[in-house]
Amino acid sequence: MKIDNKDVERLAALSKMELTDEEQANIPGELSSILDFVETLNSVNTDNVEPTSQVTGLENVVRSDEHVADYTKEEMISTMPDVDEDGHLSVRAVFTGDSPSN
Amino acid sequence: MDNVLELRAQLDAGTISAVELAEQSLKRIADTEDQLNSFITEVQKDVVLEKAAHAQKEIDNEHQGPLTGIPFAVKDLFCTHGINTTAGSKILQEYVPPYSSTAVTKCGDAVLMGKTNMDEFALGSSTERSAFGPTHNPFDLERVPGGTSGGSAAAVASGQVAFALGTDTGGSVRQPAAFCGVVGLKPTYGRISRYGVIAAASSLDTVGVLARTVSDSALVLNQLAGMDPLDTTTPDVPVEDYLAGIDQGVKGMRIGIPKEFRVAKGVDPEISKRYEEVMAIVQGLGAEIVDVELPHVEYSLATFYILNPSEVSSNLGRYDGMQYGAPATAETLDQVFMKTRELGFGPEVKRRIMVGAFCLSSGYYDAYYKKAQQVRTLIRQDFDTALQSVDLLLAPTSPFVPFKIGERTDDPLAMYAADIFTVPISLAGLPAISVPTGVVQNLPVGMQLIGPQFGEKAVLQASYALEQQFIGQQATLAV
Repeated sequence: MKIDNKDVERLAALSKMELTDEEQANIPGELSSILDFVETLNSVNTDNVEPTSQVTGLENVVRSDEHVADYTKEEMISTMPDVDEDGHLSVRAVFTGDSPSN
Repeated sequence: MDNVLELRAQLDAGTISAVELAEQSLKRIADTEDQLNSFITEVQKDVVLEKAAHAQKEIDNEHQGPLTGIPFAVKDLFCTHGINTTAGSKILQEYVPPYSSTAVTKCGDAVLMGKTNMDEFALGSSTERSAFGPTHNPFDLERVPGGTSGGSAAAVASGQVAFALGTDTGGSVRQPAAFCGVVGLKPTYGRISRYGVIAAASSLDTVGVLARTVSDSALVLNQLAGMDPLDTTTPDVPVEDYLAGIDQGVKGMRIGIPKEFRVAKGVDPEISKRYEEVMAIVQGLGAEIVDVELPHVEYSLATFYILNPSEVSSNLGRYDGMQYGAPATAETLDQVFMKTRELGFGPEVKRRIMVGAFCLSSGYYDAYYKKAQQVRTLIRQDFDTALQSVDLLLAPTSPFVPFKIGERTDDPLAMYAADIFTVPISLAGLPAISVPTGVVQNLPVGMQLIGPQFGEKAVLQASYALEQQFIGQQATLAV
């Protein structure tokens, strides 16, 4: 699969990630060769083969809905870049002119 | 530094104190760290000595566990309460976790010396892709220690610590162990809890052990293995005493040699030669060597390099500058996300995220991600079939000896090729150990023994027997 600049732009947008100029120059070629390599899988017949997402056979592991924590609120808050006076994580306004939902 | 079992005996006999041992470790780190760069963060001296004094008190009161007072290190992917945890990335440079991972907690009163260097977010095969500079191989400072747990491997090999924890997603414990002449244990998927370990590719990530001997890795596994209510991928499979009977040998074992590994392309002839020699040695010890086939194993790298980036792109979505670290300055929320990730991630991380985004994107999901999951099923079935007719499999760990720093950084595919013998085992979720099997031109060489799921005991037993055959055949340290 040949990846061009337009594809890279789309993937960068999907990944919410800007690229440096150098990366913008290199990534189309690198991605193309990586995808060419992984496309060797096309030669494998996988008709009626179930996909594997878990290897030890566990399914739907549940636990009781109880609060378990070995950390304190203060320490948890200390990892956050911006906190309001009530100790809530502060983030930028989401619903603004640039948000995708608008 | 002596191995863990020797140090345990000395500590218990009182011929050395935990504080003296910690001072030994501090001195060795101070003497060698400028050359090796094994650590991203060293634990402060007063904290180390306080922890060692506490360990000594436990020993004096005869309350010690198997690891009490033993100096160790952990890869900087494990959360450690109050100690920076960076995942080798700029984006987590300032992150100080409010809790510790289960694996670190289970090391009990072992004395933590520091957080070891690694490829950013455990993506790489050489520890060159760390935001904090590369680690150097302790046997040749111009060469890589392997990766991604290269800091842990170098720290153990150089005697900075007695053992270390790493993680293995596609070979990241086993390959650096081989490159640094130490033992690297990657257990069955789910055998050791990953709670508090920063996620890379969740269907593949495992916690592993780097140690100087097979017995030491069994001892550490004894402490770490088992179900954890905080990690739902740890099944309720009984934990065995992995150290008991480790010296029972390989007599009567059937050891399979995958035909495809014998003829794999891109393998250094010296490694192929050593592989054949090790087969003869194992046979000489009374095991039966059996040819087996893994018809789909040649597709392992391609499968891995779809599944790994896909899962990575999903797991790394959380690093957006909102919850950890400092957000970049930009006008709108979207621009803050974009800029934070541009500045925070290195080039290999960005490549994987974009390959993953591609494989998971609408219109390509079935042809890439689902296809790879299906081929993964076929690879697993190959291993299941082979392991029905043999007890264990034998394979090289790396197709080549440690390469020069910078030699493979320009071409992503050249770096991925380093994982050819380790990735298939990760896809099947099997336990494997890389055992030191001598040197080639003063560079260590390792071989893997591979078992069925939760077959760690047999893998350790055979690894121990192989290890004994190469005692005294170590490379000479450059530090």
